[in-house]
Amino acid sequence: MLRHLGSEVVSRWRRSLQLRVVASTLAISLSVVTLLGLFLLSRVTQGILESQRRSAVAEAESGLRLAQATLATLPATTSGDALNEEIARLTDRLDNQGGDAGTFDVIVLSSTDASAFISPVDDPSRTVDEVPRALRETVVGSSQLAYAYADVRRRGEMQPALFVGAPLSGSVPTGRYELYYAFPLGSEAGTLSLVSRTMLGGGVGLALLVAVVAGLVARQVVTPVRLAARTAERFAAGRLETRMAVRGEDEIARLGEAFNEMAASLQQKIGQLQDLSRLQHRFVSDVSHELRTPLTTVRMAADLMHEARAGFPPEVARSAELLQHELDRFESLLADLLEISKLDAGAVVLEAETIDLAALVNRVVSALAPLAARRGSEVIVRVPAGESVVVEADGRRIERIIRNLVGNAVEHGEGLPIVITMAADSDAVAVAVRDHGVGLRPGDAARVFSRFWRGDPSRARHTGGTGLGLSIAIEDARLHGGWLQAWGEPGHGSSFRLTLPRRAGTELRQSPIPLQPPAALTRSNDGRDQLPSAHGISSPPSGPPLPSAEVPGAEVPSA
Amino acid sequence: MKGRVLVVDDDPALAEMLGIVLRSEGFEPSFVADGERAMAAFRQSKPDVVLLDIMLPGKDGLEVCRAIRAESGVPIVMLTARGDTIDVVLGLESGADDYVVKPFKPKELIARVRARLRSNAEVVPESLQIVDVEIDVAGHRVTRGTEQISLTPLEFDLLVALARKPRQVFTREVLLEQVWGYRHAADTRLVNVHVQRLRAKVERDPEQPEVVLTVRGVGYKAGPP
Repeated sequence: MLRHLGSEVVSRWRRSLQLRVVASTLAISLSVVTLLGLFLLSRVTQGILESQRRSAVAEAESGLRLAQATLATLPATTSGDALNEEIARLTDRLDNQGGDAGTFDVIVLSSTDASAFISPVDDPSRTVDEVPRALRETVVGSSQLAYAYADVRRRGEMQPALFVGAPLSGSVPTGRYELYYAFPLGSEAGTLSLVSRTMLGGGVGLALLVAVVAGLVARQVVTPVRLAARTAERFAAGRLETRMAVRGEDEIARLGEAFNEMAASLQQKIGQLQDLSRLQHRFVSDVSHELRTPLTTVRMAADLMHEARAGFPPEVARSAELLQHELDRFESLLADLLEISKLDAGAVVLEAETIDLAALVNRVVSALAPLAARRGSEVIVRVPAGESVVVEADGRRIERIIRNLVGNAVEHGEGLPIVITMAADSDAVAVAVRDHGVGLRPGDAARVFSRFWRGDPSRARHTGGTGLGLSIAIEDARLHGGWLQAWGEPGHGSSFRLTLPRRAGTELRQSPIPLQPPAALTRSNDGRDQLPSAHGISSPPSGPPLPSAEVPGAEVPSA
Repeated sequence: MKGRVLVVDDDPALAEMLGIVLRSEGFEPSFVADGERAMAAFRQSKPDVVLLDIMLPGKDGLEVCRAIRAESGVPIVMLTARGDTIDVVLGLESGADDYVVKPFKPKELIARVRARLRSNAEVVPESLQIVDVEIDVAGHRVTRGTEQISLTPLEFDLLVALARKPRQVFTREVLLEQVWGYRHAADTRLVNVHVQRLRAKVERDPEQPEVVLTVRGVGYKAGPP
């Protein structure tokens, strides 16, 4: 509960500029007010006490002079009770004098008998302890006027008081005495407490006022900023028509104007791009239709001629064959171009469904089995035991990617085994297609996905690849939020790895299969990969029997 | 021998080529180049199969398709240049039985045409029932009580295929093979659209089908006899 509250406060603190402004203003103004208050209070206290002390000392000095003069007039023989009586009288006189220092008490103590309370005598409850011991010691020791602050009991209440004391010295006939004045500081203390209370209240009030003002000012700034942030968020969410309300000519209004200008220009640009994309898609679509109709006629004519080629002279018969083959290539090139054009225009919709990747791979492998057999490559499929390789994806596109990868591996595999590995973890599934053929030169791993890229221009083209297959494959992978990556070394074959998020729309973090096949790390002395890694693996029991008949759709994919 | 084919296509070269191919396979083609005159040509030639280009000048292929369907259950095979767009679904929903995507091979086209004609040729005396729908296979009649339900040959074939094995669940792929004559996987949208069309005709409430039931994740099956 408390932790929840804490995190709530932290999050409010981080999210609200206004809260931070108010809190820091409050903290700063409170500390300034406190320091100022303490300083003022100490100055006022000092001032009051100082003036009180001055008048108290003056009073005490005049009293002292009077007392000494009075005692000096006494006959030297006066002693005992008579003397005490004299002192009591003197004390009364002094007591009644009053003056600038206000009311005060006069106390006379005997220096010879430290515990004797001499005067005033009318109150038997009073004792010598009223006078601070330290002051007495100073007075007796220094024989000078001294003062000290201490509490004194008056009418049953303790209150602060200023004690001024001096030895009654000189011509005192018998014994030595000390004269003390006690000035109660009740009214001064009252004044001071009133001042400090006023200052505390005023200070806190002032700090709160400053905080409220800061809050209001911050609000004035923050509210339009918040509004701007909300507007920007709406804009970013795709509502391009969103604009900020602009009032006045201040900085906020300028922000609003600038934002609106930016929004308008973005909206215009996005609109242009959308139009362009729509136009391109439309164009592609029209080209598709316009090209396909004559192509159909040509196709049918070529087919007819191809069927009848047995009756033609040899050159014409061969021409019919070439025509037929090249039309196949032309068709797949056209199809690939249209596809990549659609991908570029962003005009494709992913039809995601739950598909079993292992079944899909086996289907592709079966379809390509005749081609692999012709090339002499054994295709080995490795599926993780007891684990389903299920993924949410567009089956048609994934099949196209896999068909392309396996077809390329067969094409470039030089008759050596091809290993297809599948793996899955909680977030992703991956398929790696590994061949042991010519491999890739350094830097080619990135270039293989470029459009119309050829690994080795001097190499004869065995098949009618369009040069767009991998470009389409990588776009298809991206469409799924997946990765398609290549690894290869000259003479050691290559490996293409497709990684897809298990659920459509989630972000990939890692692939369950390493890109570089582990077998490629160890090499035999002659520099070739050790192939047992491939030979040693048995086909999974789930692999379907490879059909001998030509399976539709088993055309050689584009490389 | 049923073999009259009406080719509705505005491209003269393609139409001529189609004619050559069709004639070489023993069909009797007739031609019309625009949508406006398509219906007149249809009524005049009384074809057994119509090959219909979707993109036509004048009246477009979808309208022609609906117009033909309004008066006849004759098999219609669409020629389309866009196999993966909404065009196909629109064409099927307008009443086309099947489609081929340009550029197609002659064999592919002939196979599609033959598959459409074959169903008409196949007649076995047989009577089937699903719920309260009676199917007279030989007489090509479907009735509910005294009410006759008019189905196109393709819809009829689809219903018969389901009714012959009442307890079996048919996947879309199996139906494509049995009803449309595809030997390998093709567009399952064909099945979906035609099941909807069939339901619209044979079900009392197409929203809650009793005759053609959907088995989720698998396919379709007939309701109880």
